[in-house]
Amino acid sequence: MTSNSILGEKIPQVDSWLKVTGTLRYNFDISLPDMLFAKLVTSKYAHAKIKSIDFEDALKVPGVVAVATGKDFPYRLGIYVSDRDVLAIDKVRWVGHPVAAVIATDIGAAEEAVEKVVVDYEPLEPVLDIEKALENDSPLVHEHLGEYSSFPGFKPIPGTNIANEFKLIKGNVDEGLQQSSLIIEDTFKMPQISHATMEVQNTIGYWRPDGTVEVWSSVQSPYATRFLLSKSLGMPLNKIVVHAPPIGGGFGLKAGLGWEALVALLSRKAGNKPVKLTLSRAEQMIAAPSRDLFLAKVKAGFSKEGKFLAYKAEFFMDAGAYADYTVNVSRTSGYSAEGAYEIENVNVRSLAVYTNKIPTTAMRGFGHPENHWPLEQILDRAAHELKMDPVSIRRINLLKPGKSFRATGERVREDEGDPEGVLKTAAELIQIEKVEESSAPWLVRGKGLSMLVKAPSQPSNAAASAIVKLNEDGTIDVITGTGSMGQGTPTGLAMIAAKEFGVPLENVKVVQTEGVDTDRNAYTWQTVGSRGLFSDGIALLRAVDDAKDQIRTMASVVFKVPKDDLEISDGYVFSKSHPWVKKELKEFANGYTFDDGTCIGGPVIGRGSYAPVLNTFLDENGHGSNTVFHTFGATAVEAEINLITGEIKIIKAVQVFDIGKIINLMGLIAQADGGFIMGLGSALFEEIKFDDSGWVLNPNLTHYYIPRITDINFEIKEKFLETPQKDGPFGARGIGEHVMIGVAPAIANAVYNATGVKINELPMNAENIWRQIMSQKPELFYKAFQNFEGSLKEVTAK
Amino acid sequence: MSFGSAYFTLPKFKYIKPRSVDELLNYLSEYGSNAKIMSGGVGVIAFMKERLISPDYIISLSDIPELKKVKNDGETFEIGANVHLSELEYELVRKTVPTLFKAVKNIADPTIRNMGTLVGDLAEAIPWADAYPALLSLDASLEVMKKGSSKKVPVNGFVEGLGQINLKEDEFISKIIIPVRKMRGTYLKFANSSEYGLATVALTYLYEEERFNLVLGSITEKPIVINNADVNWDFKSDLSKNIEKLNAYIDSNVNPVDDLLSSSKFRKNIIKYLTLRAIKEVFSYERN
Amino acid sequence: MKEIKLKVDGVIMKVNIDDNEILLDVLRNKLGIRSVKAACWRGECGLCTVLLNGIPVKSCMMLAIEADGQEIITAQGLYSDERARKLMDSFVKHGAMQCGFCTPAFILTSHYILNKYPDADDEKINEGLKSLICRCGTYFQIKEAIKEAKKYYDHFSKS
Repeated sequence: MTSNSILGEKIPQVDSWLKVTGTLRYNFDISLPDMLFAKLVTSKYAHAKIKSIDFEDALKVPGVVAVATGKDFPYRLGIYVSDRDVLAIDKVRWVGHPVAAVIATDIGAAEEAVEKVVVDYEPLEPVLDIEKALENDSPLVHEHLGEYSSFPGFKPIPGTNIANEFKLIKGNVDEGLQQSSLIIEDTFKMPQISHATMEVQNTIGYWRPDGTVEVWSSVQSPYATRFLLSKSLGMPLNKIVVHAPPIGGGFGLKAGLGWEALVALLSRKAGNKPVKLTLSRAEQMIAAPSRDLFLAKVKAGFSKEGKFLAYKAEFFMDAGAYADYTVNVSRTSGYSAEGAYEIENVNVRSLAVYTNKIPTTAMRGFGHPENHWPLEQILDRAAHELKMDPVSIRRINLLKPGKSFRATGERVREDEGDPEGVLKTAAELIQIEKVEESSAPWLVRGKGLSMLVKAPSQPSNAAASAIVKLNEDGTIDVITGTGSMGQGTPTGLAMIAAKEFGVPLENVKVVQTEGVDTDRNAYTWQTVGSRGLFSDGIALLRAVDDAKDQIRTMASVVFKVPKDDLEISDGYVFSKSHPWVKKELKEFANGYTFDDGTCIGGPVIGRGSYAPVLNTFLDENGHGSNTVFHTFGATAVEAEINLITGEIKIIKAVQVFDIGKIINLMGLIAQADGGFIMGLGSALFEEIKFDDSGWVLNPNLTHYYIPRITDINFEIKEKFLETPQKDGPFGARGIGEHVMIGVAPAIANAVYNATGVKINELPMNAENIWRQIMSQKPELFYKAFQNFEGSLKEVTAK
Repeated sequence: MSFGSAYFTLPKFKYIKPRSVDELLNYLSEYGSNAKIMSGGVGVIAFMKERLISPDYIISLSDIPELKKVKNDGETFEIGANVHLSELEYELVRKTVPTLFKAVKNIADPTIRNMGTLVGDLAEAIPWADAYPALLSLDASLEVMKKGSSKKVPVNGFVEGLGQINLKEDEFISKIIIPVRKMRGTYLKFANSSEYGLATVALTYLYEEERFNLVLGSITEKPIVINNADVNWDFKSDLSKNIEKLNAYIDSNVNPVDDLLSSSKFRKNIIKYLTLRAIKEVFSYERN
Repeated sequence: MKEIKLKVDGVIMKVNIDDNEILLDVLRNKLGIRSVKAACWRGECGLCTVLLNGIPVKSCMMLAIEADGQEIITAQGLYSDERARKLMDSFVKHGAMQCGFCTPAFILTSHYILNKYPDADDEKINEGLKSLICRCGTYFQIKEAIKEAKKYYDHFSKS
């Protein structure tokens, strides 16, 4: 296939054959010859003082090398707020808080020894409810909050359980509400959910005898991991190496610093031997972070024509015992609260709050599944009250590229996308005006739609870089920093390089397909936020240009033509004006050698760097210009609701995104479909259940239900609009998170449109829907049950 | 109750693999109090991983040929203790004991069914298991053997509570015996947000004898058996009248529990719904 | 310690094990067969699936000692099966994978289903695959890949 047409094609991921044969090596599969095994001892209390830890008997188990406790490692960890200890020191803050770690020669010995570690606790009153955590007399999760260091822009409030408070103010929301003909006020909630990556977190730490630290870990962003290790251990960056093999699922769980500091320190404690920690599924769900619990109190005002005049929102993110990314999730959720709409008056207060529950971290969508949950439902409810249709009320309020400003004051660029086109396309694909007949009178069908928009949530200077090397046979190596978690970025980068050089895809190797190594790759800020292809792609294009310039410099001498007369494509460099004057690229790979043996130039190493352009911090009113692109999208569903059981069955799904430019169509379809399925999980099934002592009731995949193939018996349609992003690689934008954001609100809107029942809480499992039907429209249930009983008579009449 | 296995390894035990039932019974009489029998192994391994049990001996049934037999002589349908669930998923089972066939189809997933056994599912004795309700509705019995004796006991009463079975330490179940009669049957399971069902219904209707056994499972610690006599079911009268009686009976006598899976109220709603669906399936007559 | 002998991906292997060792661990850690993954260790996710005497089982819920004298096939071993290779190719062409962690288990289980029921309809295929979890959500693509691979299983004699 000629490489010029490669963009827009369906290209399988470059490591596909390794995946189907199970030969792709994940960190899960890596072990070192003299490696030891670690196992955690975790807290049984949500909140308690640690009085003593006795591990004498544990040390006697054959194979046990050492037992570490919090006192051994007085370091503070934390991405934005250093609220996390390596192992609990003075007290435990959630059920699952690691209190000690056993290191042994085999995992069996470690597990036996864990049972022999005796921890003496003095239970304290836990705070398990987010609203209670904000009351004045609430127990404090972090009494020393004032002593923690924090990243600029994040301010925990000492003496409270508030890890961060963000405010966004535009106009005057009270006036706006006063002018509104229709006010919708309600409280919305989403539970804590688990990323449930199939590959659990697992890390090998090696504190080498020369004082350097080497880490192999299942992480998304090895450069961030390296940076955070350096900061928390107080070591220079060049004394730390992080190896990040391809990961079996990330979704935000593995974005920052996981267990690396702990495992490196365990290695030092164990006599400088490599130590591996692999979490069990229960530990993954209890001891490791989840997504925040979300509580939103919102008040929205509309004119009688449906203009969105005012939006007052209070977002409470239950951050759990340490806030990790959640301080930024709550901030991001706050500054993006208006979604795809231009709202005249906005007042958002978004808090990240500590409780004695599982700590929380980033998850796909980063605050947008949260803020879209109330927003997109309010629009449908307003439409209903104002006797408009859900599409029209959105259309009149959509942000207008080139004209509108966001509530943060950021200009909506003309090339941001075509939200109106996205809305129209989604509405058409789902045929939103056509109400379908259900197959039985106790079933009812409805359609629902949700717009969505997201930008990468990243610092104003989140950079990326790329290196392009030409091999002696003309093949090309591409090195950037974005790793592989199945999202397909390495394949997309390979396609870009192949197109630019005009060579077949097989001639390009993207080195990090099999792992990112901080020593051997090129820096990128993090593999998060849907930024990979955009940021690394721009850096790559610059690296390609740089490589081409080096080739042209040499070729200009060899061909005796000016540099600007030289073209590079199809694996050749040739003169534009005299195209028969050409040579294969490989002749220039390591410099050019003339017939008499003399040579010029040297190895071609193209380099490219990228940093966001004209991004600023947000001020105390939440104002600033802090994004590099926005991707607009819409999710629409047709659902069938069983009015007797509350079950929701999806009949049709639609995913529409303005992607700017389709690079790999197969990858985009995979994201759209896969993201829908993941969104379906959190919409219909997923919930981490706690009892009232903070104990997790369902830390397993039996009672924490993840969609299986038998839940996917509906059709899905995907459509990608291409309104080019001027500064994106070939005009492309990111999509990795957007695919999940609109699923829950679209389904809730379908339920509302079918039945009039408002859904404020997730998950929309059968019991929860049934309860809402019984509480809001019981007559629907009784009629349905009557109809069902009636249907028996027909079948069983003698 | 928290199913949170945090362990990768199993506790230590000695593995014994007898070659015959006699050998097995000898071991049981010697080690019974410290031993667990592994037929499919799925249940035993699950409990060991969570450190709920820690037997000194694991006695495997996998080398005893006679326990792998399925026999159907027209009068009784016998399933040996080491018959894998997937081996029951064939046409003859579907025709002769439909309740069992459908129950088996609802147990776990096809891969687990290649490993697990019906006796194993029964012996796990958890309220959401499928074997017990199905076998209750089929009037099944168990052959219980110990060294020197063998007896046949009705399956009713075998499960006494969560994890508690009516079986002594030196006894084991060698086969399940189901009387073959002309029947229609079904098994329905309602599961949502969990792999476990929050309500299950097993209905076996012996149409020539004008008798049926309706068993409600997963809603209480032990399944609830309702037969036609309990509700004064009149096979000659209109179905709607009978359903009224059944609904009234369920309303007064069935009190589902609240647990991790569901609330009592929702369970009651679902169990009524499933019951009606089961009746619809089983009592539908073909019109000539 | 006992010595067991088992055939793995066509090669007869001898290994010393304890009674309480789990088949998954022996395969991965003692025999180095890393294509067999694990995500739950409780028989829920299915990623530890192997073919035991041609039938799929979840190796995390089996004792290694019960595999003595038996034959095991993993995804790596399937590479040498002509039909399975066509199935793998179909998975690749349809993009039926993302992070890839569940892919070997889906390949093994789909191969078994198509082998046993070459005319399997959607319902039967789905039913057979419900023992597995894919968190990335590649089910749509997996279904398409299997549909296309069916034709390679029709004309061969059952193995």
